[in-house]
Amino acid sequence: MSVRLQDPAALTRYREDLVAARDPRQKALAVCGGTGCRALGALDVVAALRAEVAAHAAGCDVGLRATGCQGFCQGGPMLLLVPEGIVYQHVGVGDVAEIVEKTLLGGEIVERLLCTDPETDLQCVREEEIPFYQRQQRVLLRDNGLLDPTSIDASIALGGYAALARALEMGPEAVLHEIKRSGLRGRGGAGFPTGRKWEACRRAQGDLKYVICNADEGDPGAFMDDALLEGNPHGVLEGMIIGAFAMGAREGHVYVREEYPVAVERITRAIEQARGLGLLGEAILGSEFCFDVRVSRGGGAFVCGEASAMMASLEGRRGVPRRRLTHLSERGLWGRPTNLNNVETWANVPHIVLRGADWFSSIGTEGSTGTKIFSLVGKVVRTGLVEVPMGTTLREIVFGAGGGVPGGRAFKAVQTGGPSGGCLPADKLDLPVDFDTLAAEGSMMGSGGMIVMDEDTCMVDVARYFLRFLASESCGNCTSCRDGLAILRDLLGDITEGRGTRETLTLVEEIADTVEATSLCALGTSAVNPVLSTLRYFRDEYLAHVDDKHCPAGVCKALISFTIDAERCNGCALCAVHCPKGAVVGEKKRPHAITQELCIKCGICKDVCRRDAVLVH
Amino acid sequence: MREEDRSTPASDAGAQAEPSSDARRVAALLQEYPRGDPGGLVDVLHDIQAEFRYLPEDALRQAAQHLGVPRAQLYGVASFYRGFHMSPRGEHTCTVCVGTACHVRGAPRLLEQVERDTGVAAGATAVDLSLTVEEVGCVGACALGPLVILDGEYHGHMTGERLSRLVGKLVDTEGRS
Amino acid sequence: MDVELIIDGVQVTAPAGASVLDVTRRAGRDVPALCYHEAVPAIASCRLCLVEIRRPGKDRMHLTTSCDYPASAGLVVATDSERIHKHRRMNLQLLLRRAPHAAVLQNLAAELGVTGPLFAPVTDAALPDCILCELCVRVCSVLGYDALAAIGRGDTKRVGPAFGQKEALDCVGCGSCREACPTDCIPMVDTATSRAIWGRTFDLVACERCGTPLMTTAQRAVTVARGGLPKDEYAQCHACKRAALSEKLASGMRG
Repeated sequence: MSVRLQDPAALTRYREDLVAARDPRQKALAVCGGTGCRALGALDVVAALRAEVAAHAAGCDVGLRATGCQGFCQGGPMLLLVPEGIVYQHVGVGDVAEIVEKTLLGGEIVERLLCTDPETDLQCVREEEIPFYQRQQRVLLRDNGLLDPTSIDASIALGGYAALARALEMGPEAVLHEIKRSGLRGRGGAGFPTGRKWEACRRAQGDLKYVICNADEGDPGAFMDDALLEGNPHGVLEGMIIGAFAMGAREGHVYVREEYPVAVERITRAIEQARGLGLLGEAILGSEFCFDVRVSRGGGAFVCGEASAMMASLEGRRGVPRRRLTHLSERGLWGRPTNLNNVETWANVPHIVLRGADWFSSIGTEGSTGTKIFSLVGKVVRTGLVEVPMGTTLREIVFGAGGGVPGGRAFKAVQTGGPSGGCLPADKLDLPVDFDTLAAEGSMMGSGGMIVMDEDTCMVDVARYFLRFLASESCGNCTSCRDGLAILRDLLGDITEGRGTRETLTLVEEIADTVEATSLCALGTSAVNPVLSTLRYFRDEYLAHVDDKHCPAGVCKALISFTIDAERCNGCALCAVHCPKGAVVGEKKRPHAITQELCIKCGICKDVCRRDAVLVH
Repeated sequence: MREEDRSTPASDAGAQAEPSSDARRVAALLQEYPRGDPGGLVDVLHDIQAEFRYLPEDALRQAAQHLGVPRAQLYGVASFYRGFHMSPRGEHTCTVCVGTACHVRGAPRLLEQVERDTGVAAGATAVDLSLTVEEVGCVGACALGPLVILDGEYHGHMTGERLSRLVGKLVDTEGRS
Repeated sequence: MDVELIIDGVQVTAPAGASVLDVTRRAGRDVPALCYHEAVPAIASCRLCLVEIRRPGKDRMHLTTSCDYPASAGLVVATDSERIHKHRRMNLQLLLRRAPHAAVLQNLAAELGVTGPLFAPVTDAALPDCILCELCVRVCSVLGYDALAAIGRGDTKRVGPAFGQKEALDCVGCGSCREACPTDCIPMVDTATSRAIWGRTFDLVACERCGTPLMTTAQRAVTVARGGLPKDEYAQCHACKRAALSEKLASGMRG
């Protein structure tokens, strides 16, 4: 039950009341409830904490909340103790009693739960001390650790919707002007100047205009938008409302991929809450501005991340992109002026309105202003979400925040830009990450996915992986994309299975050329980037596959064999027990051997061996 | 508005008779969506699938009529999206994430192992409807790769050994569940 | 409103918004296109109708499909370049893989100097020699029957009836899909009294004067319902109707 806020002053009073009611010294336990930490049992930790506090700290007025993704996925489940700012990592249900007794009640630190700085070996107590966070400038993700994403009051208390009130005061043209001045460019991958896009929509003819939030986030390995929607849905919603105001849009859609059910739930609830308070719907904050939003789910199609395909999906059609002869800002959804922006783009808007275009453009580079959230994953020590100013180098992200490659393995490549991007080798690590630099080198920044690969990754296998993905995601309209990618996928299959020749490589390049030159949409035209960039930077690996039928990284099953090092093997027979094909033979306590004809290269023996005695050639 | 169904009587056997309980369930779902407005089509399909665990043909016919969309077209839309299933799914689901981050951490081998252990190929359902095995492109838990989702529960840092145990608990790999 | 464009160096006048493919063809230029039909919306699926265009004020020519590109003032179009031919040949090879028996593709291959197939033919397609151009789907939809749809996506996409069935329930047997199909891959078998197509069998109505099969009873029923004309309007073929009308006029004049 809520009361509509009649005007901006009412919102200010509402916020002041909320803040006044909170004791800044009040203790709170904030457990990260992002997808990753949930998968590691964070909700069980929350439940255990609740029970423990009720049993042993009932007198202590301590708040407990599950927050959105805080980005330090490697340390999950994460726990933040407020107001001290103590950060614990790898928190399990078994640690709960100690945390409540020692830290909450006793004011002592449980040292084994602290993060350690790997360079100094010193323990970090507060978030500011943790290298992973130190290397970042967290504008968008900062609030993820501070608020309960299911509570609009929590958002408002932290300043939520103050930007909306300011925007209403400024008027649409002034808001538009500020967004243009900020230099904000679309965060979904294409990097189109947001202000220009908004202006085109504002100037377009038509009474009914739409704004869309693209939360389709289909790049595998990218989860920035999920974290923003799950962790701070009001931050995104506020950006959309401000944008709708600036453009004169009356209706909005948030299109969320169906693989993100929690994000769907959070943004749906946020919309209901905002409506209840009069921040959405008729006469927003007492102004003449009316705007409402619906949540729509994707059906499971990467291509629907493309703006015109997304609109087709919203119109109840197959997600087939259409050629843009007029801009979507003039004729988009249902043929009406439509502005589509990515989740992260919308999330930046309230910050720009409140803190100004000058502040925003002071971060980053001249051509790429502001921060960018990267999802740093793969063969990297500290996987998670990294938010840094545009222009930060790959090296600073991968080796700085990310801590480099684990296990002493050598860095080989970093894949940026998802399936539309490319793989860049070690000698490109000092490139600044922004909209334009990586594109010149055969990759692109894309939506922010950054997958680190090491010497055990086969780059030919990576190209094959992306082609398989893209061929299955092609909408199927264009001969070049639909059939070209299918054949490229099969040719890469030939190469990884030992049937490739030099001619195969030539044919791959020829087909890729036509796919790039004659496909209708960006899925097709950029689909060749992974294979072309790996051919460019890792040609020697391709040549090893086709000339020598050898996979240097030891990945391509048809080209490798597993053997047991007799000197290391102690005959424990664990591998023999687990081998699904009974291919391991040997007497107890004597070195075992693998019968090559039966071996299916599943790798289970290597997984279970405790003595590193299984070798891959 | 589309013309009325012109199908041959045999295929419309139940159309004029008393609506079945399934038809009533579908009608209740469809009530949330304006008649004749195709925009809600994908969301309607989600609702039907949530109700029946797949998209039964009769439900799709009803939806086509309600939304004012020709049924061939509706079927064409449903078939476009990977998330919709035209045949019943298994009681249990084992989903292996094959996103890029999980891929470089060994997801393909885990998928092969599940297929081998259960005899069910990715995308398929066991004949006795006990288990469906699928791949998914990325669910946003990349830091925990390789990731496997068993009946909606996420399991990260998966190894071959653990996977055998977990799948074995879900569905007896000798055929009983 | 008419606009002036330049096609291969020659100035041409055309209605604004007309398909550049149409305009180039009317200007006598040879641009192949398989998935285009002026009666249905263009989807630019086959990717053969490539041309290079340059808009006024821009300095580079861009490769594009022409069926779905609208004519505008000052547009410069080139239909004959190495780039166009290279990519057209590759797309043709991709199509030949799907439709190795299609005469139209083999003829085009001969014209373009494509010597042999580059790719082994696809053998497991539900409809052999279908190039997935969706003309059948679009034509059936424009005619108001909507008996066919594009199903699935990517390289497993296919065209067919609802629910993946063999029988197209909303089909009336008009055969327009078969007429429109560029590779002639839709099977239709007519006898004197019946037509079999898309898993259905229809009764054929024959001209009551000369016995030529006219249309299916199902199609006649729809046509009658839509046109508001009585059923006997469709009892004779055009030739017989004209003959009957001439006789009537002649007898009227005599009488």
